[in-house]
Amino acid sequence: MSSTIDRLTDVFRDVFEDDDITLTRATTAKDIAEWDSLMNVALMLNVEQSFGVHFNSSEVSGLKDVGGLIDLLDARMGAK
Amino acid sequence: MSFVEPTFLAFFVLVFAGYWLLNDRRWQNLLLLVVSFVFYGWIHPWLMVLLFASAMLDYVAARRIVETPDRANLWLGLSVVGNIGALAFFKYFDFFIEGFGSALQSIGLQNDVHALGLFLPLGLSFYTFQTMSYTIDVWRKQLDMRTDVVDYLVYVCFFPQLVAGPVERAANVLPQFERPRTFNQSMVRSGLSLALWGAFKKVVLADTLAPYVDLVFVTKEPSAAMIWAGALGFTVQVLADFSGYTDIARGTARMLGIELMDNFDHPYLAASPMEFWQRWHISFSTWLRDYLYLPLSFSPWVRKYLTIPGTEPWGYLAHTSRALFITMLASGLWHGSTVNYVAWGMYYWALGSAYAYAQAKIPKRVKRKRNWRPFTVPLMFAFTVTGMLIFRVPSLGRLGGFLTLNPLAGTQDQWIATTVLLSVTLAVALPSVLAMLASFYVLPKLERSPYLLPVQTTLWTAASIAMFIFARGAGADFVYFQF
Repeated sequence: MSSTIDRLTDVFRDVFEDDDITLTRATTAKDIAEWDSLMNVALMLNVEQSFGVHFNSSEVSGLKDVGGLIDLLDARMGAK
Repeated sequence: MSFVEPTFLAFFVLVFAGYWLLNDRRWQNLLLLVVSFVFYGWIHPWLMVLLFASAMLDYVAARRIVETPDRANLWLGLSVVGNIGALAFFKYFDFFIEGFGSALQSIGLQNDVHALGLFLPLGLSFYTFQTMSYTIDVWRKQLDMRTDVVDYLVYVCFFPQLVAGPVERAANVLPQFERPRTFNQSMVRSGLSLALWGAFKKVVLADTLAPYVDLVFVTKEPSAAMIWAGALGFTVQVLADFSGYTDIARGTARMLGIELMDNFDHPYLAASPMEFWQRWHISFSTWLRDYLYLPLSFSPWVRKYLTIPGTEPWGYLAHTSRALFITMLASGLWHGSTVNYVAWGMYYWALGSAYAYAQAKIPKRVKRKRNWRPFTVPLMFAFTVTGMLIFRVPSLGRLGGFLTLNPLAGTQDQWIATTVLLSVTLAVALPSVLAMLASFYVLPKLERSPYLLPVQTTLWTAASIAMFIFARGAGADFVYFQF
């Protein structure tokens, strides 16, 4: 099974319709031009769907970078 | 006490000297707390009671949230109801009472209800949002609850940002108050530059333009061209005014070793409504994003009762539009209780929803075909000016009248007035544009060069002289606008 970051990269490429996106743990909204508040909600809804999890608003607002998202997802998947 | 009155200068010099002489963070914080209350109580002593009550409500609520976890939601609710309640009472009570009274009259009942004649306590809208964010962060387990009441109160009452923001987050500022600060000459110089630039924007730019803009909106029958020139003038004025205030706040804070968050990032260079909110009044719009927009999108309760299943992509658009509607309504109401602030919020909701729709519908290949910013930035600026018009008009009825005017009609005097207003607006906008270009291209090089000190000193002197001249000349109205 592919790693969390690979799966996330697929979701990002899908949402932003850009196959050149390469994620690292340090990637933030500043690195992707179209990643604004609206797209963030769309992105998170897609991540939820793809990983089969639900986030709450504290978790979404607490995220600082892709690394944080990976940790959150790993914690969720591990707990399953 | 206002930032741009001479008393503040004397006040700040004394605070600055005392603060750095103390050289111990506990005494420094205590001093900041006392002088913040002096600064705030200067306007009216009872304001301090309200500030103290709001601050202590959240201090206690956050402690209770941690100490009695099974009642965390109750204490969070108390904080939100207490803060929003105070805000609603002072901001909207009279508005609703008057509306209720005229409604009674219109159905033929005698009107016995009276407005209380309340005035809005200065800074209430800002510090209630700030203390609420502390409690919500503690509730969300994103922040440790604080027990040191002095450190906490300084975070709420810190005079540079008490009256008009930035609406600070505890996670950014509290740790700064909790560690020792060391005097650093370049930090003080940079803070002084920022504060002086802010004062220049307020005194020389905004206040010079303000009387011209004001006249357009009190003139009985302005022409369409005058109104749009007035809207453009107000757009320039309000940014100079508000960002000037923020720069004084950030500059004076920096001189005391505290770094506050930025509130403006060249908002008129935004290419979309969403980008505008990322650049305009950032501390407030990120507050709305984190504490209203995201909960509206992700809270379990909203998901359970309000999502429309099976209507993708309309489901997502409807979801976004609804969350935006409530957020922008709140933003409008926060600004004031009159109908045009609500209309202004609704205008940004319509813009945001249209943008979300366009984002979803326009194919990526079209978006990527070329750099659209040369077109989208001026378009968004035109939308911003229109928004400012809604924000600035005395009443919605007048706005309707303004928009139905023939754009090309006008007497000779009205055209002269328009030309004068546009000229003053351009003259005022020019220093801001030059400063923006300098901050992009010159400042980074200058900061590493030996010329920084003489250039800084020259600019300080020039700004101070200009403020001295303009502060005395401000308020002289232009005759032509009366016609």
